[in-house]
Amino acid sequence: MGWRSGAVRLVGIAGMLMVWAGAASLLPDTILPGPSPVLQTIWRNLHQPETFYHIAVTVRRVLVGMGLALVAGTVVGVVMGISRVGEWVLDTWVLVGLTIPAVVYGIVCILWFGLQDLAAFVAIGVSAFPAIAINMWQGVKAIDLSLVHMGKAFRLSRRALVLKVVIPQTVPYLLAAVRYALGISWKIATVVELIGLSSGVGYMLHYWYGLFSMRQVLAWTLTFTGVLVLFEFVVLKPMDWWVTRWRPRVST
Amino acid sequence: MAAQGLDVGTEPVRATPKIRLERVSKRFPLPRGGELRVLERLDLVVEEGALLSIVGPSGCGKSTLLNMLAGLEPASEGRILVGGKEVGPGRGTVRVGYVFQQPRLLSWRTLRGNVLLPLEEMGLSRAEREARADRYLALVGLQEFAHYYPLQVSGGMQQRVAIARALAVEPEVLLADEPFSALDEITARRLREEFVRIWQTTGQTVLFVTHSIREAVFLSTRVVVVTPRPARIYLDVPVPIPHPRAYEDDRLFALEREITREFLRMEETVAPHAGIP
Repeated sequence: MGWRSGAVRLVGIAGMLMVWAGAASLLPDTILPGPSPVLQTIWRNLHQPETFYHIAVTVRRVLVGMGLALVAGTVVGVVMGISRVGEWVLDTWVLVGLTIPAVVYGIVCILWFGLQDLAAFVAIGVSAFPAIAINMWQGVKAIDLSLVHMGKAFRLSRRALVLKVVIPQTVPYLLAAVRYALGISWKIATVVELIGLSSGVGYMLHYWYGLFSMRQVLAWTLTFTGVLVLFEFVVLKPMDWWVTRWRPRVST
Repeated sequence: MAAQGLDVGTEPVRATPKIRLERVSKRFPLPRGGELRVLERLDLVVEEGALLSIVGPSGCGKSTLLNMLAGLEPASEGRILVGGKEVGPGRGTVRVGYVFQQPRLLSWRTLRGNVLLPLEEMGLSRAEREARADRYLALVGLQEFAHYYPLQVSGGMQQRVAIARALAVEPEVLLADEPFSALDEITARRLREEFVRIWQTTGQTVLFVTHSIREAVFLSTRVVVVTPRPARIYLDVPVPIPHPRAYEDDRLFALEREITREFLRMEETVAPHAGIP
């Protein structure tokens, strides 16, 4: 990383803010408020404990739902990757699952489980699951069989072969799946909160939408985006770096 | 450099046999019926400490033979004995070291970690494993690179690690499947010289598959030429020239010419028939 990439990133953000400010100066405040009123709103919101409560609620839903999707998606993806019968049985369903709009899962889950967290967990899990399954399926299929052959020639046990030769090869796919799942999960979370729950960032968006406050809608969106970016830099990026530290870096 | 080599090449008959193939045949069933005859009643005795090369046309079943010796494939007929024990899936295994054409290293493990990989399965203590890995990395001249990752070093160095990994299990036999054919010629030459030095220090029995007659003649104590599929032994020549050898040695050239001539004659006379209907 280093200071140069940081500087370039800052310039990028500043550019975006300038474009935003330019556009906002041409439009009324109710359509597009400028960066400074929105940032002020965010700042004010951050002084209210309620804000953190709603963020925490959504983060929890996202993480639990994503966890469910990751476990189910990994299992199904690996089964599809190593068993031809598994692929025949499952691939249609995974593709169907991928095609159904996430809102449908949201509606169905709220009707089934009522206005509670469980609905959000299941809706998020089911929506994010197909993409993860497909990712892991590809990951297992891309395994270098010559390495497995090497392991067998050196008499590795089946367990060692899976743990030391097969699984590490799927790690980049798993990581890509986590990123993807995170993006999807947060979108579904807001939708479910918007339709049927009375807490979380989606609920707050709905609330301010009802009051026609563009400023608050943008403030909440940006706040949660900030949370996700933070997660990316604090959790995913270091993890990414750690699991691919053996790879020579292409650029400097 | 003083060659205190085990000069087994000159008197193969008296040395103890390490590998014994007894009328070994290998057939693969073909998906549309019929079968692919890969090896046909192969008899071969490899004496302990030999560096024996098997030369044959590509696709003649040399790699299959190595896989059978490694216990990965069963023989359709006949017996394979290594160090007096029969090998094959379900029949028992012996420890082999295998060097492939590609290094086949785990790119997420350091060079040392790669050498350690097979050792972790052998019930050795941690200290013993690490001492061994370091010893064999030093043998191939890579002790200073132990903590590098494979993609950070050259192809030649990667192949050295593969050799260290194969030697570190201290195998009954070392199997090498065209290990230098993917390298550039200069690197390959240096590695061949080094391979001979390592073979001399360890006294390993080596079965070396190659399609290069020059390489076979330069390295081996004995060269076996096999026919196109189904592979049978066509020629079995000792190379009674002491190691270390010089690339420019006229005796090697003469032998190479002779074997090449025989090889070409074989390709003319033995029509390749693989049993495909």
